[in-house]
Amino acid sequence: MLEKKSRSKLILFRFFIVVLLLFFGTKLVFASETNGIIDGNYKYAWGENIGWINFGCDNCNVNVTDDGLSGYAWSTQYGWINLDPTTSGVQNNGQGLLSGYAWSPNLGWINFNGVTISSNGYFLGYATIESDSSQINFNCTNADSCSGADFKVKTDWKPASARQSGGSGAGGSGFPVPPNPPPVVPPTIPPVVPPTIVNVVVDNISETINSISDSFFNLFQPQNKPENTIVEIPKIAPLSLKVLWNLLPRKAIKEFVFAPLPYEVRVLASKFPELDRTLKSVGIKRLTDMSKLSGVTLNLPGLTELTNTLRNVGAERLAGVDKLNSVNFDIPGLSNLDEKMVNNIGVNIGTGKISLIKGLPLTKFSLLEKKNLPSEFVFARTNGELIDLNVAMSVSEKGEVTQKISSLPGKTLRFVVKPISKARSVTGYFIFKSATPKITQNQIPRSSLTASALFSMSGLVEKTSKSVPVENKLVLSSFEYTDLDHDGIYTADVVSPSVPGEYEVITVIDYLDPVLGARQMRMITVIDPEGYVFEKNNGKETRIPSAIISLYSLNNLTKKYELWVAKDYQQENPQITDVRGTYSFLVPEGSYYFQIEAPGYDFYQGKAFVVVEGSGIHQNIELKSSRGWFSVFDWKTVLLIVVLLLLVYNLYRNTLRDKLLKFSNK
Amino acid sequence: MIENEKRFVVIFIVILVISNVFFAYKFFSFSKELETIKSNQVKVELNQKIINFASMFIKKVLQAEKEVDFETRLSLENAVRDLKDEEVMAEWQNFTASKTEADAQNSVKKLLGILITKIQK
Repeated sequence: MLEKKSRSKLILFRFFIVVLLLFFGTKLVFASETNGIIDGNYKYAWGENIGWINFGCDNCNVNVTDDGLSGYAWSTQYGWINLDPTTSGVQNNGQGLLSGYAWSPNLGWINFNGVTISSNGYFLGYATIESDSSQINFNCTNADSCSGADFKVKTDWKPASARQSGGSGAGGSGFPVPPNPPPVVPPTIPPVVPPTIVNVVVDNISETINSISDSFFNLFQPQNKPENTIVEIPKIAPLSLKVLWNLLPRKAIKEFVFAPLPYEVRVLASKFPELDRTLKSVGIKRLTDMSKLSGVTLNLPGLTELTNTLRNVGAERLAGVDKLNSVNFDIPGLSNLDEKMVNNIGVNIGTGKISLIKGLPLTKFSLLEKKNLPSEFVFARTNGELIDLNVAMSVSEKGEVTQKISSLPGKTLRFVVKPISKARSVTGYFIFKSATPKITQNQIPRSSLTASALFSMSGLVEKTSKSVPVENKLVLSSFEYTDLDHDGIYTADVVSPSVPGEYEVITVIDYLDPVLGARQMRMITVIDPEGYVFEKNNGKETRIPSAIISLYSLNNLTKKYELWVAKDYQQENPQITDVRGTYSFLVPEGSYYFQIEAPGYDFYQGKAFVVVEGSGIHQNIELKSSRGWFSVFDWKTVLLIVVLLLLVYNLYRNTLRDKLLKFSNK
Repeated sequence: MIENEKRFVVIFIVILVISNVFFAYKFFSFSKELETIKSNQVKVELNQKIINFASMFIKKVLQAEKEVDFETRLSLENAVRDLKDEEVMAEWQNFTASKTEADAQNSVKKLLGILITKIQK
């Protein structure tokens, strides 16, 4: 029994010894005084020109032995520093006195003469970068700068004279050893395996204990403890911060900022000096300036051509209009005006300015003017060429230049185009784009044939190497342009679609010259909905047919409104609304108002409105019933009221009769 | 009398349970709200930091007319570290370690691009 007890005591004692060895032997195992590593807390050296150098980074693997240093140090600015290059290396004399060179691809040789390792493992002194003779300080105590930045490099390697054990991690046998011990084991013998296993086990145990203790203590500590990071700033600025270079790519910026105007606009500006001058004077010189055109109304060259001429003679104001007497203008069509056109000119002279002379039929153009007519422009006119359809040019957000004309449903449009050379055929296509009936807004109005020509050019003349891909679109109709009088100007009369919406007119000129090939011009045509006359019944609109609608225009000479002479524009005035209550007027610019008469409705006289450019009028006009509040009662209601009244009267009569009978009986 | 007491206790317990449920619901809904506010706050703070760094970078580096001094570099370094964003940090280090003009320009482009994309909506 006693033997058993003593045996168990022995086992317990042995276990205790093993535990002690595990805990106290750990340090002894790691504390390799002959093959040291860098302490994780003290691993930074300071280069006066290169900033912090890390000797204990993850992949540095710096080892300090009696023979020298191996592994790498890391500089944020200059990268890796090899402590053991093939042609040199940092040597150790075994007493901590370092010498030799380390190598950095970016810094060159670094001389370690002057660096020592103290008896407690601290690096002291300075290394020197040979390329600029700057120094690397291994310990803040060297320059008494620890109050500013506490940096040191420390290893667990110890100089031979300072070692207390055998130095090989033998577990602290306690036996004294000579200062310079010879290698205990021959190099051919493979490393002993068991200590490695012990290392791993101890490592795992200590890590686990550490993590548990950490998590336990973290319970009582505030979360998100701010980390103290060392900001590594070298004293000398890196090249990128020395203002030696252009940090922004000049070429790319220049290309962006100074990109020229779109091709279409440049071509226009080269052909029309007035536009060029206008663009330059308002500062539109490059692509980035195009945004200035958004929503801006330009004074268009066709108009400018006239007004400039007038301005030259000082006749831009009405006061100076007398100066125009007996003066011949060199403006297309003006030289051979007939009486009617002269009258039109008179009508078009306004109070503030001289407005456009419009409505000059193509046949009135002289041969010279026809010759000077810009080529490859599609002009849109209507009502026997008396009205030039206004075209809006707009610049989209993407910088695309689009142009639109607006018309009313069922109107005959005349398209005019002049090819630059003899053409085999000129074909037009009416293509459906969108069914959305939207009222057009003209960003850039255009008033004349010449002006129309100007903007119809934008983006329209594009050479097509292959067949024009209109086949892929919803082609409503195609039409042929003809040149009956062989003057080189092709015309086509087309009836605009009856359904409001957005359409595209593509004109394709097939040239005889194979070099020119086929060229196409595009133009958006918006068919605005017609105006209508209506009355409101319980919030709903009821169209009023057979209403007589008269349009009055302001005569600038007499300063009075007169019935608009629609006959001159191949229209009717007054008009009678159809079963849908619709009407349509296509008028030149001016001031107008409506008068409407319809049986059963109050006489309507609208407010005056201004039409800036020749365009359709599509106001929806509400009429009020002439019966006033009586209009609430229809014949059914009246009949019902009458029946009710009769019933009441009958009741009254009966009551009266009963009373009389009673009275007579008494 | 005893029955009355029992009834009172039952009613009291029911009231307690209901109030528990009510407060639990309130607690969770407020917690959720708090989470949202916190995440928004974090977002705002991060955006602010990004904008500050971008602004400093543009002002002090891109518009610099002389060498960027130590203090400014330190501020920039602190600002970029404060973002705690590895991508920005890596690009910043690429920039500061540029050896050629083209590299620096490329890094500037990338850095500005990264900074802009890091701003959260």
